[in-house]
Amino acid sequence: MNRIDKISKSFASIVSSNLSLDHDQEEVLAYGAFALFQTVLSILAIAAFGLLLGVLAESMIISFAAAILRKFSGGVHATKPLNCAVIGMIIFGVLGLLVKHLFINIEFVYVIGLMASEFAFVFYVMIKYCPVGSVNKPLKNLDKRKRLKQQSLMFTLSMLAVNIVLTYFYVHTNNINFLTVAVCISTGILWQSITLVSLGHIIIESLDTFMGGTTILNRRANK
Amino acid sequence: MKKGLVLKVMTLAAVMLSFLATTTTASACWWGLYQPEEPNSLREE
Repeated sequence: MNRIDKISKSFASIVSSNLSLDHDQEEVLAYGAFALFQTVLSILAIAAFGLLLGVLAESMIISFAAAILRKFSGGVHATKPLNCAVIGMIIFGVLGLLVKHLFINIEFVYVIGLMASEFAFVFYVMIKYCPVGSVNKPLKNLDKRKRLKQQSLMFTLSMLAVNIVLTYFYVHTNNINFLTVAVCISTGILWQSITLVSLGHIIIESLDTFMGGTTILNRRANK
Repeated sequence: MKKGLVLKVMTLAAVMLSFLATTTTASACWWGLYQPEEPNSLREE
């Protein structure tokens, strides 16, 4: 049992004993507490690393765009909560650096081309692969799968609309912040769609295994 | 008085955590890159 799990269960146990709840309700509270602690830890890790690299805003926008799409589309997972926080921190930090020092500095027409290609790829992946379940959440219910696919497509479509508006503002005001936010959003959802395909699985699983995780070992054992 | 306040805080925490757990279950996966096992009472077969 990991540390966050222990803290969540202790917290749920305290609340449960004070309110005289049953075991099932205590489990739900522990799950909710885990969600809260893990999310806060992940966000703090990304913010700290982003601050260190000088790309706080970029890495936060990228991570929020990716995380919201992830709620609907699923994707590959790490085997430990700490690995999740560290991998997220590294990936979003590196993507933040790429946006700030590379993507934004190329010619405007290429930025537009890049964003258009990213969205085309994201739509293709969402239609073909979404949603992707995991060992702890296999997503077998067909109605739920259909609903999640629709929500993923709707979210991607709304992000495309937001990007068009931000790009329009950039063209009319020449304020680079509008374009930066647009590129961050498209990069975030691009990264999330990559986690649905083999390339993302290889990246996450390699990093997870490097940090002592067992995704690759589990996959081999299941073959 | 103090016990009443503790009870209110605990009830609020229970409501918030239950809400968080239920909304998390309704989605495809966790916020980050780790998905813990869902509690039996929230699991969809």
